[in-house]
Amino acid sequence: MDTLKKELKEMLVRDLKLQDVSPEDIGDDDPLFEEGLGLDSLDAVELVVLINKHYDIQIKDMEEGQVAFASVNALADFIIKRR
Amino acid sequence: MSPPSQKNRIAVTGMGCCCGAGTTVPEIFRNLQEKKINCLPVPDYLFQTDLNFPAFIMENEVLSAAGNKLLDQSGQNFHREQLNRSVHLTIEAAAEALYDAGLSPADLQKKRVGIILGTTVGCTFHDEQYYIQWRQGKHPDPEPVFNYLNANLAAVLQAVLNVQGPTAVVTNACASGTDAIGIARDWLARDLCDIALAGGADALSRIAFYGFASLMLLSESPCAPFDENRSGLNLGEGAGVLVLEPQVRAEHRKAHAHGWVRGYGAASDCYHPTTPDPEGRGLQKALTLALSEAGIDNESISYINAHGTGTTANDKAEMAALAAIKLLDCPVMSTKGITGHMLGAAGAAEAILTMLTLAQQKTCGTIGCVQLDQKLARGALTENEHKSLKGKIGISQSLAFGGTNSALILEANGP
Amino acid sequence: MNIMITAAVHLDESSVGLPQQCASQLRRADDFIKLAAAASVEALDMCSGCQEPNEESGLFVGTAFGPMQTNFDVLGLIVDNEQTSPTLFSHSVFNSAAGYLARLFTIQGSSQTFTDFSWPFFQALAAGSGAISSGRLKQCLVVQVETYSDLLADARQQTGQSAKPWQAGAVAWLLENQGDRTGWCIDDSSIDSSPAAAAEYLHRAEYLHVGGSVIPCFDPLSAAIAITDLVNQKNDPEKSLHCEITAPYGSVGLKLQHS
Repeated sequence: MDTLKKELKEMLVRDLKLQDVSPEDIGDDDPLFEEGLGLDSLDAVELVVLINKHYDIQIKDMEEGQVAFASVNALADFIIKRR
Repeated sequence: MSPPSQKNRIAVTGMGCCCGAGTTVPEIFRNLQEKKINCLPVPDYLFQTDLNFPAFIMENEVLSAAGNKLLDQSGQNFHREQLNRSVHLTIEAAAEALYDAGLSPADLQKKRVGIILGTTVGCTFHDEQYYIQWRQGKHPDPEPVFNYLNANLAAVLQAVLNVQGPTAVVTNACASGTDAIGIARDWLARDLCDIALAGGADALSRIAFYGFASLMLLSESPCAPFDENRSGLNLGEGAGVLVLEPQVRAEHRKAHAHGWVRGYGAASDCYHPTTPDPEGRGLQKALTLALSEAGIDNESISYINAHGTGTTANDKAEMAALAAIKLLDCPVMSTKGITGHMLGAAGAAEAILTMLTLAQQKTCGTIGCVQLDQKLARGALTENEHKSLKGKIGISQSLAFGGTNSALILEANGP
Repeated sequence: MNIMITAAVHLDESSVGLPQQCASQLRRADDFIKLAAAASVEALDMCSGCQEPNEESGLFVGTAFGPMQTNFDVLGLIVDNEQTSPTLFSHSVFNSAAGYLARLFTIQGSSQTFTDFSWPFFQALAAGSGAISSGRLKQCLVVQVETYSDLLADARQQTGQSAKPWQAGAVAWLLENQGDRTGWCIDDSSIDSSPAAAAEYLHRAEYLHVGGSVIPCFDPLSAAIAITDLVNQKNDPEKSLHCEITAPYGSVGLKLQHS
């Protein structure tokens, strides 16, 4: 689980090209959208593609995405459940 | 005989359109009234795809006898296969528009002709075979590159018609067609040309299809604008061309005016690269500017042809904008239920449909909208509603990627 | 009313670094968008005393080839049957840069992107100055940006046109009502486009005739860059600049008056 969370944080910083944030700065429970990391709706659909690409999991609509993308913890839980 | 104040108005004297809903303006308008939804899987002759999103597409061959005749008369030996599909669509719509306006290329050659067309796909290089071979280090024959360089829609139409005058291609994504008409109106008002052909064209492209799918904006069923269960848009393809000229010139050559472009407004959301501002602030501003230019108030608006794509965000933002500037009473509907979203061509086709709706003084409802979303800031017509219109002035509006918004105030001529 | 050029800058691809205030908003942006933004920042900074962009400010972008490399990046994903990146696709849409610039600088008025192989900068300039003279806007940013692509460079080489490779770059001008200020104003402009063979758009035999000199301009940005340099000449500036650019695909006339 810790490895997965580390991977996810690295993916967020690298693939969403986050500035002035390192993977270690991202708290497991920090909100990813709105406040916290401040990702937006374009990042959200990009994340759908990234999750499909790296973990072979398809997210069909953003209602599902909203729950899964709440935080790194939520995302890790989602991936483990769907694997 | 028009009243003196109308002499310097900009008249619409010709209209041409082709899309998934029909190959001529009368056919498309008839299919709108009859709710003929031609929303189908993407055919192989366009491109191969495993994605399950239907679209509003035309036949493989889009040039009719009239379109072919327009190409042939140019004397420039255009090879059909060297002209991309967006060019073919442009020629086809232009042929109908000119016929409708009672103008031949020879008539136009005596005038300064402005040509301004909107597109999203029509300006890009998308020859996949060439790209694949180039990437493999082969040195493919550069003909596709030359074809791309010869595909500026306005330049091609200018060459086909053998005319002189200002040309432009507007690439403002989904607002391009509306902007092209608004800018043409400005050109005429500033006497930069005597007559203008304005509109837009976009063929359905694999890049746009996959791109919109990746943004999760496409619906797997026919779109349902303003419906509480709406799930996205359907792409479409087509072209719309309008012939515009000052009223005084139209009268001089005894041309019939379908109506007039009374006003145009454009403004930016400054909100997000792909999502509209939830309050529709840019659209509010565009509408206010357009109404002001037309010299009319909300009370004079009888009908609104919305952008109405069927995405959650667009429809919500659009209605929020209308409610915010108190355009609350007139009927609003979307025609994308029979055309799909034609990107650069959308604004042009919708201006034409707006003009016809205003002329017939009644509107049908929004095809695909069965259960109106009650959370929208104001209502729209559902598909089985029909409304008589109180007057002949209406709005056609567009919201685009990049947060750009445009609106036209259109007035139809009497029956 | 006189339309004044209150700032005129040009940048090349080596300038794709951005001030910190833009970096986070442009984290996803491609080079096309970043170059447009960098040129715009410089133009807005150059003009001290100019109004902050607002709802009476507009944006006019002209480009010949648009975000061509990004377009191919998306195409590459599709032909490889890989998932399309929504970010890349959004940026491959030609008015994406305009959307970013409008948001970065709060330019709330009209935002238009024109695509033209012949005279992209001058199309945008004509639209911008027209919008000010007609009273629609009080200020506008006019930008041309080109980042080309490897495919285009190879096609140029293959067709024998690569004597000088084209360098990515951007030109940005700020236009405003002159008011009481002294500077260069646009007196008149005209664009004539005529049909030309496709190869001419790769060859680009443009010549800028100004003040008795003839300056060759062999890439889509050169003419706009050359006129930008003339406008910025500090030593003993001319009182008027009559520019004419000729090419196989037409001509541009631009009359500037210093007052």
